[in-house]
Amino acid sequence: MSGSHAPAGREQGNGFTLIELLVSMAVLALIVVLAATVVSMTSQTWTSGRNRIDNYSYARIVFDTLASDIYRAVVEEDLPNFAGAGSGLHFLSRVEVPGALRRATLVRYAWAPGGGSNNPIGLYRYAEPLGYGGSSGTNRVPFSRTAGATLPEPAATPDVVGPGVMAFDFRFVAADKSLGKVFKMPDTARTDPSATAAIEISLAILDDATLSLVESSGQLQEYLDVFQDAADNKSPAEEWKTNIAALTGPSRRGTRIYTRTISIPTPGR
Amino acid sequence: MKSPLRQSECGVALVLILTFLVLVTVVVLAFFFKVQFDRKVSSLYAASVQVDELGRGAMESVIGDLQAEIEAGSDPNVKTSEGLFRPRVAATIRPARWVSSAERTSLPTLVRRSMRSANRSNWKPAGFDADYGGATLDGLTGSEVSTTQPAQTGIFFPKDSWNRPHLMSMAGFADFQTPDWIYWTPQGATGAPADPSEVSGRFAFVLYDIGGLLNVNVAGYPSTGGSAPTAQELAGKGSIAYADLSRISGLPQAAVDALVAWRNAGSLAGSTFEDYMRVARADIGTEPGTLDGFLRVADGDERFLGRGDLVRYFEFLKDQSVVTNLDALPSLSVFHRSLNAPAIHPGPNASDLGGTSDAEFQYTSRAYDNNALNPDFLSVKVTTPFERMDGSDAVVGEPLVKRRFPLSRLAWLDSQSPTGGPASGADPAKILSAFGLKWVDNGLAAPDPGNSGRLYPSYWKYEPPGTNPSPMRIKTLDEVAASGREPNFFELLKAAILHGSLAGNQTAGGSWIGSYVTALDNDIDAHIFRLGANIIDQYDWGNYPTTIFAEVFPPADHVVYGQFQYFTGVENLPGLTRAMGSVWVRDATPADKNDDLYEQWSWIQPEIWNPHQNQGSSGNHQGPSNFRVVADGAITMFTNHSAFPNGRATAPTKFLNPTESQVEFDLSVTQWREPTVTEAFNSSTPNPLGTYDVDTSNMAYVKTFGFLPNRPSGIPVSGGQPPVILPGLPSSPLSGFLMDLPTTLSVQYRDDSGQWHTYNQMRRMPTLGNNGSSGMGPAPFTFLQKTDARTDRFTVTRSYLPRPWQNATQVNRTMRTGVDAGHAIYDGKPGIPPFTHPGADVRLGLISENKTSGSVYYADSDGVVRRADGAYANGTLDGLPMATGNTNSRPIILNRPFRNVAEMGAAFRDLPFKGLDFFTAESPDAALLDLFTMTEADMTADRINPNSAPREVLEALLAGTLLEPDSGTALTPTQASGLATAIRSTLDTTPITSPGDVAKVVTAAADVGAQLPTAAARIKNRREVISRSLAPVTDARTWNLLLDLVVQSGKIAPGSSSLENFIPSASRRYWIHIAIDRLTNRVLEIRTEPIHE
Repeated sequence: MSGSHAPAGREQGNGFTLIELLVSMAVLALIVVLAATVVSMTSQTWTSGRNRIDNYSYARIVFDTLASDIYRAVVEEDLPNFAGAGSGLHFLSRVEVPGALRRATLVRYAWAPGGGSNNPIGLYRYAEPLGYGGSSGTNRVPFSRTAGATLPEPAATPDVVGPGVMAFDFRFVAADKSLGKVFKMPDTARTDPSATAAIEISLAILDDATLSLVESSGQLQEYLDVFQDAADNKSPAEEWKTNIAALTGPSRRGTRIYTRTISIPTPGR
Repeated sequence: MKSPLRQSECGVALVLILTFLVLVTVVVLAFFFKVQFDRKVSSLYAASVQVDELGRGAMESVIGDLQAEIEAGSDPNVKTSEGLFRPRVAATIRPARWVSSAERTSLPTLVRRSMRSANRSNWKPAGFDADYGGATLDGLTGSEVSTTQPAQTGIFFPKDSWNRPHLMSMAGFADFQTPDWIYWTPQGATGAPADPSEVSGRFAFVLYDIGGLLNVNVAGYPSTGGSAPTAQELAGKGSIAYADLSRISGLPQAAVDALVAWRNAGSLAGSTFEDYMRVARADIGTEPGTLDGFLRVADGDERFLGRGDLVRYFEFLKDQSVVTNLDALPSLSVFHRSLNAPAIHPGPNASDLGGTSDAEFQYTSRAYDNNALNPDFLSVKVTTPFERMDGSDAVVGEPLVKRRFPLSRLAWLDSQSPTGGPASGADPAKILSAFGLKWVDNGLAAPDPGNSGRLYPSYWKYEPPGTNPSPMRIKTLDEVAASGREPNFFELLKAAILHGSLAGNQTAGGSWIGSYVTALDNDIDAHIFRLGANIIDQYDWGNYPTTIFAEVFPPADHVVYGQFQYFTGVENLPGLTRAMGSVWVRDATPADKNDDLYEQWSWIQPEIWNPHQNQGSSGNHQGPSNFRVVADGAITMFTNHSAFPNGRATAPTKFLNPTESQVEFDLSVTQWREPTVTEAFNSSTPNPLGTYDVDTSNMAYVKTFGFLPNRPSGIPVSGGQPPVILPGLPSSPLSGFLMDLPTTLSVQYRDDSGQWHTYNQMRRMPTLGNNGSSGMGPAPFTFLQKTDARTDRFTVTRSYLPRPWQNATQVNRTMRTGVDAGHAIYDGKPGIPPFTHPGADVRLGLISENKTSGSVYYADSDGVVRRADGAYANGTLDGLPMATGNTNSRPIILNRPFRNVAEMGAAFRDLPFKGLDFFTAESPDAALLDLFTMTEADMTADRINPNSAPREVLEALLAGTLLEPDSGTALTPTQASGLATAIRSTLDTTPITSPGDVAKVVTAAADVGAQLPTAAARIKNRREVISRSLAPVTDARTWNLLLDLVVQSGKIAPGSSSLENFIPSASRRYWIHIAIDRLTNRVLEIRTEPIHE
């Protein structure tokens, strides 16, 4: 028989040489690794993006709800404006509660560590509608000229408006941009530069997955300690950002800090 | 040759690729979906923010429109450049109403709405062009698109939605024409956008004047239980809190009670109405009575948070069947702001009231002159920084008088105790600042019955901080500003009361009137001090008169005039009305001068009168009970000697010693409710008569000289009423007194320590008796008299009884022709120029009316004849204070804190039977209603603007007011309703510009259709029921408005040029309460209430 001769091995087995196999396996391995890396990175990016979107969505829900309530806040000289007996942010708002006739509602936003799936860690909103009946009790707007008077605790069952909110704090913004923890009623002529004009809300939000991770690792309290009270004249968000930067691990990446400044409808021009 | 891929391998690859593509597609779609969702959310949020901004812009546009209107409606000749916007005409004191003719009457609070050009022309207010100087004010003209027309999306505002604030009655709403849209473009708000594609939103509005509505956060009171007011408490009417809400349609008493029980749960915890009001009015200060203006809510009380809250409350009441409808809502508001600052503008000119045309008395024309006695208050600015009494800084350029003077500060001056002085706990430094007064106590330790000539052992000395003129003078407001301090009480009085109505050109009266009298009566400051003391003594609880010392005379003159620099207030005490010269001769025809029968007795008998209607009503007011009349000066005994045998040629003179020349009396017998000579009752502590045998060698017949508290034995009684006039006295010769000037009779009270204090005088003592030169003819019984026991300003005159001789009680006290026979003054006339009288028949009683229609009247120094307390008397006793027994028509002493500023009308003006005038058109005192306040607050929430008040609101404010401040019957519902109708009619044609106009304009409504009973319309105290009801709650300068604003962000449908094709992206509705000071064009406050649609 004459003619061309194919390589013996190839022609005989129609297979691959070892080198080919090795090379192809190496390439395949490389592709797999790269693919895995890409997938992993994509997954991470996707997860991170999703978490960020979730965090942002949570933050926006919180901010929008807060803004809606504060937009309708009742600010009067003879009310304990933004002063509650408990922690969090207390105020009276004209916000409507379904089923309630009067649009006067005691509102309180407070962070709670949670406890169970029905009671997750996050920011809770308490809203107790007031009414026209009776001459005493919690059904009435708690006007008071007594120095240091505070709004009563809303008796209503709270709704979680900010799941994943790991910290919540606020500062009142004065006309001169200074910050403080105490609301100061402006005079009618708005001549006092230290009077309150707005409120700056600070939120720290952790995505669900990272939160589970942190919780399962038993490092939750250590994580929460990051959000210690900031100085009264400082923005909590700025301080939190510094503290978060010192963390390592997923909680650092999963935590997002947000702020929004909402104007307070004080009387006067 | 390569072998082709197997079919199965190709399929796997395809599947993989497709899967990959699907995954990529899903991811991409999810991403875009997410992006779209976020974009949607973001755009909604952006639209929300945008519509908020548009709403803010729309509000600013409407406010800007209003401010342009204020400027156009203001007098350009006034200091608008300095922020002073005085109305060109009275009509521009309130917002111009651009409404249809039907709406004008059926929707009284409707001011305007966003409207198309045609309606703007059709609804232009009458007289607008003239009133607003030709300004068009059409900056916010709407489009031709009505809010009832559907937008591109189908959304529209049905007509009914425009009455969600319930400020239009159901009946009147039928006349309402809906607003038109105004569109936002980059060029601003317009009804006709040049390029519809540039439209970014639109808005429409309805503007209401709610200034005349009752702020239901304040108005109303409990009608049952311990906190319900008594009739007298209700009569206070110093605030809309006293409004009878049950007079409002649709608001039965049960609803009022429910409202108050809910609103004032905390305030009702007390046991009395006083407790309730004290808590409800929010006692905010450490000083007693420093109340706020209902701006804040007491602990445990409630307040409506906005108009929406009020509407829902009434829906709640309706659900509870407490009310049957919402008809009350158009009369109620939840917001009112009033600057508690005076805006006094003097006027009118004297020439406009029939007075002189002298420039000095053209008050309005001179209002902006430097150092005008009666300046425009807003034009007097701070020129030197200082700290105000409330601790705030007075900034250069702001009004010097920034807040009304709180009458509660009068409580710092105590006259409850006999010695007076600062009230317990009062700060002398504050008293000095507020009143310019320092307490001076000469500190006489031991009783001094003789007084040692010291008529005023303790007093307030007027000596304001800083440099003062000598002799003392009350500074003008400009001078006070230059002094770098706030004006005090007296300076404010002087600046507010038209100066031509004070003091007077005391030149008539002939030789009887000494120069000191002229100086005193011509002194405006002296008049102000007396008036100020009278106000203080009305306010304080005690019945001890307040004395103010001011060195108004040069020191060199103090020896003679010193005692006339003390100005004592009027309390519920008797004063001198007459000094009778009585002469008695035992035998008219003695044989010899040494004959006892030739003995002549001559004495002065003071006649005392407490002319107040509540005389003898001591209540729990501490006051004096022991009094005396003393004389000082010199008196010469006179007799027509030649007619007596062996008569002497010269008259003896006796210089009086107060210890001897006195007569004591007390309050225990008659209380002097009618003029009574002191001899008519027995003194409980009789004094020895001042019995002198003066120069007996020549005048043995003089037996008694001085006062005669008890009838000497032998003097017959005539008709049981001494003093007697001597039947046996010959027609000639005559005898009498000659009083050498200055001679003064003084009434004094004794304090607990036995110290005597002078409080009432007859200082203008012309000759008493016949001195043979006046041509009086025989006058054995002559006297000096005052028209009004409370003052001797102007009217001390000499007179005598005509023959046949009459005893003193026959001297008619009314001195008024027609009602009583009256007594004509045959010789004297008061020193008041120009004094009009019919010649010899001068009936001084007519001065208590002082009408040009009468035969006797006088003009003030500005030539204006201003009526007295009897201004409205007309043929009956009603209104005549001097008629015997006519106590209802007499003035009153309150002896308690004023419950409202109009109660100051009880204060005596130191002119015969003239109280502070809050009831005539020519009132020179009306500005006081704007000058004073009952609260220390800068801003109040408890007033209304009568110009825009519904008739029912006026009725609610009038109802329940007592015709007298402290007694009598209240206005009946029928009377209140009739008066409210008449007042509404008056205000529709004559808007008022200040609280003072209530006195000058609104009180005239009492005559409309006989809404008040005749007596009430003619008696000062009762006619002033209108001023007491309305003046304290009147605010004409603040525009309190409610803006019902609907705003939509969005755009015109692409490709469309029709404004109807608007695509809204977000919509908002706001009810915005706006308070603007009309006189400074400054926005005082804005309260925005977001409304859920």
